[in-house]
Amino acid sequence: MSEHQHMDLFLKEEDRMAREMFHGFVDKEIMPVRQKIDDDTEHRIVGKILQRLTDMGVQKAAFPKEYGGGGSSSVVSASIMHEELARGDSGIATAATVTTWAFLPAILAGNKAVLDHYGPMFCGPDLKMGCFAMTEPGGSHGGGGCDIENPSMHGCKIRTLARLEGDEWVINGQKAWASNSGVSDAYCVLCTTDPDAGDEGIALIYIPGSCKGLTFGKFENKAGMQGDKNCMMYFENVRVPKEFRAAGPGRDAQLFHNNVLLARINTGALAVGNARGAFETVLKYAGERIVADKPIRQHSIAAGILADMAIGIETARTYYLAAAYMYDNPETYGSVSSNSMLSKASIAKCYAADVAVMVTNKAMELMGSYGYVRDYDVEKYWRDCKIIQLWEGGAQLGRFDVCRGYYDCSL
Amino acid sequence: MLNQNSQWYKLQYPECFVNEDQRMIQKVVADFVDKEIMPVRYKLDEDETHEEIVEPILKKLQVDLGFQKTVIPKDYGGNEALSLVSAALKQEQLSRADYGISLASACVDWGLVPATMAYLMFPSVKDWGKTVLDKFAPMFTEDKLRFACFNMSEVQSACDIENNLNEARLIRTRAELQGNEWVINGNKHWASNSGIADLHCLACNMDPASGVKGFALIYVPVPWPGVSHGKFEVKCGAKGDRNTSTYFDNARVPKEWGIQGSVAWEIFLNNVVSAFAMNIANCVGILQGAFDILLEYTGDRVVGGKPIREHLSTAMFIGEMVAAISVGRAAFLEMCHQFDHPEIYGSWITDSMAGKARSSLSYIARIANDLISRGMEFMGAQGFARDGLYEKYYRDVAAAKLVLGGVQLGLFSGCRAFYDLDFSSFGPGKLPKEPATD
Ligand SMILES: Cc1cc2nc3c(=O)[nH]c(=O)nc-3n(C[C@H](O)[C@H](O)[C@H](O)COP(=O)(O)OP(=O)(O)OC[C@H]3O[C@@H](n4cnc5c(N)ncnc54)[C@H](O)[C@@H]3O)c2cc1C
Ligand SMILES: Cc1cc2nc3c(=O)[nH]c(=O)nc-3n(C[C@H](O)[C@H](O)[C@H](O)COP(=O)(O)OP(=O)(O)OC[C@H]3O[C@@H](n4cnc5c(N)ncnc54)[C@H](O)[C@@H]3O)c2cc1C
Repeated sequence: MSEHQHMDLFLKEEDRMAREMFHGFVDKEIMPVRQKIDDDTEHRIVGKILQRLTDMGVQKAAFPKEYGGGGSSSVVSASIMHEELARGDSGIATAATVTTWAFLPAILAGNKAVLDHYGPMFCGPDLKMGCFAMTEPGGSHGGGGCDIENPSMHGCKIRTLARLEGDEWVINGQKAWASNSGVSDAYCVLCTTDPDAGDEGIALIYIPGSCKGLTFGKFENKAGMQGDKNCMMYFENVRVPKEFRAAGPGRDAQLFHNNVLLARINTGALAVGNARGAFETVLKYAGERIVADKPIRQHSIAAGILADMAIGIETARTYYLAAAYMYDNPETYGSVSSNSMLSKASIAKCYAADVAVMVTNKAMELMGSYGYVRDYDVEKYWRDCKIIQLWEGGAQLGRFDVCRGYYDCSL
Repeated sequence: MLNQNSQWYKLQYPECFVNEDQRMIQKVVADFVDKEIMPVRYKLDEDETHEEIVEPILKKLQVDLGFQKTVIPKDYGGNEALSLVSAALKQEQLSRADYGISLASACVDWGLVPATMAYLMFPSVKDWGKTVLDKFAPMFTEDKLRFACFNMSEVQSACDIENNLNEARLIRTRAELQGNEWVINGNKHWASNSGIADLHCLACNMDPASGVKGFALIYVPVPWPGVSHGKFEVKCGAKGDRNTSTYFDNARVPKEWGIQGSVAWEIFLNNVVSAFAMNIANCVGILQGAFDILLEYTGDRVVGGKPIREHLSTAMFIGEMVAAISVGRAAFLEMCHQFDHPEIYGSWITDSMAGKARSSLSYIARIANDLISRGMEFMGAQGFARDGLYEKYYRDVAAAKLVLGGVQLGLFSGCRAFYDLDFSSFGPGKLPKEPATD
């Protein structure tokens, strides 16, 4: 069976070409170095790979054409790229794609001030990084990542305050865990102008990385996904022009929830890519290693496990593509800012993340002790993918959001 | 802190399985773990050479507290503490903090037990036990940190070696008797403590075609001419334990350091089977360690207006963890109690006993992996962070289901208690038949 036969229904010719291009890129640029990424603390390898992706147009793809960008708005295209890159390394895939995520609110809102300021820079030849910062530290008072992303909370748990003083926003607060934090040139920061104002208080404000008053904590030491950098961010009387708010009251909340929703589809694709990386590795290994007188994969028990992996990967891919396709075609499938769309996006993410964890786990089991060591790659996919379940609202909130498509779930 | 007076404790470690002496050992190790390992457990991964943290901890445990000489007979100044209940209680406590350190400590015993077993329980090879202990026991009773290892796995399928139905026919490390010496050639891989062990108990074969008859168990000290090691494996967890390849290139040791044939095989199998129960205890310890972190974190952190663990979806999961810990603990205690009383329960290496131990390990190791993985979901990003401590247990527990032949062999073994499933590498009925006697 041709590897991608079944999903061509959702793809345009340019998607097919992009898929082949990213596939080849990963084979050539990421696969040979994937074992080294864990030790690449300075991101020397990661930085080079990201620069090559910039050369290929990834960084500017979503920016409007008038700024030199690609003007692409297709979620199907974006998700295909997520899958292909994550097949090599999901941390690099995250670092490469979060930049677009950070600028989407401004692009969708057509915010001229932000795009005039950043467009030429991000559509240029050099690697630039963007970051979308919503998660906050939380604690015994609540207000962690899920409380912030939870649409039922209407922004009431956001503690990063944005106050308008004359022509400037003055921002105070803290953010945690955002991808590309500490290394970005631009931050799209989720704030509130008034936690009691509900969704109206939600504000997405762009902040340059070099802004006075913005400082960073040390980089987090994580179980995996070392291709992505995360740290605490502290905002102390950070001042930016008034026009750097993405859109305005009400509309910013929509843009924020839209970003959460899109990220669910894309991380579903990311999870599929990760699972595929592990699956391809174990399929090859199990074909070569002889156990009990025949290749591992010729044992019925191993074949059953490999089949479960394939079932998970194929169905998860079909689902994220279907969700992406529906998002791209609202005239047929309805408004994208609906509970129904949020539900579909969340299914794509929750299901694919579970599949990735299952696939990498089983792959390790099939490889015996070799699954546990760096030299054989599977352990890396296993460590990397676990966070896909936890981020973007985690396993619980993701499921509550699935329910919102079916009944008035108030959790 | 382990509170041995609480009702929960009494229910978890019932008196019918755990006596006063065993309780004391457990308490000593539990207090040691809380004081010495818990505060540094998040740094263990970075201690690449083991000099800064791991070895000082092992020195205190093995030498200062005397666990290095646990299985050495009293005649040699050891503790001759051969109860598997005690051993399992110790492993459980150590794994609660660090599975790697637990393995490193356990495998010292594992490497020495064959000699002790021979000396105390197998009259036909008592001399072998005596020779080995005469020569090597003093090394382990002095005030210096020492390591032993039980070295059986090879680069080609290790499962094929641990699969007892193969009757040692797939062991490729060759031992040849030349005059008064064993000459050993071959490669071993993966043994815990390999690369740092002062003494290896080595599973070899003299003639694969003759199966058990050609099986040989030989002690080899290191350093030794003809023995070398590869680089240490870079693993994703259990880093307190060291694993590497060991190469034997015409390594010659005195004939008296090895035994061959069915009694060697019996001792080998006994050693392997006892490890299944130990590893269940390890799984329970790892689960308990992860559970303690989860319980505390979800009690403090508020989401959706209340502490995470007050949400019933979380509570249900925590309940599952409680159940698994209780069931796993009962399983290893019962099993070790049975091992400790062969006069009632029979030989360790019957299909029933081995099948029970092996399949129980597969079951509990899988559950521990599944629960620790799912538990991370309730901790959000903190579950993924080194500082959060939890992710270490996630990485460590994965090894627990890969060792000792992995999950599949364990489950196949369970079947042998009920029907004659042939999962040998030769296929049903095709096992070359050679008399399994000397
Ligand atoms: C590698 C990495 C990259 C990341 N990238 C970004 C990024 O680019 N931008 C960004 O802003 N953030 C990012 N994050 C943060 C991530 O999105 C959050 O960690 C995630 O949303 C969960 O938040 P939390 O960790 O605070 O968990 P918490 O909010 O503390 O949630 C803990 C647990 O409670 C459950 N829960 C939540 N709400 C409820 C409820 N109402 N009822 C019952 N249970 C509930 C959750 O499902 C979870 O199991 C990243 C994190 C990592 C590790
Ligand atoms: C941390 C750690 C510590 C270790 N410590 C020691 C030690 O102290 N001493 C030592 O000797 N070894 C040790 N090992 C090695 C370990 O015991 C073996 O690696 C393990 O037995 C699995 O062997 P393998 O990796 O070669 O897997 P393989 O033999 O290659 O097996 C691969 C897969 O095939 C499956 N399989 C096996 N047999 C069959 C069959 N008949 N039918 C169908 N499927 C089958 C397995 O379940 C597995 O999924 C250690 C390993 C680790 C990770």
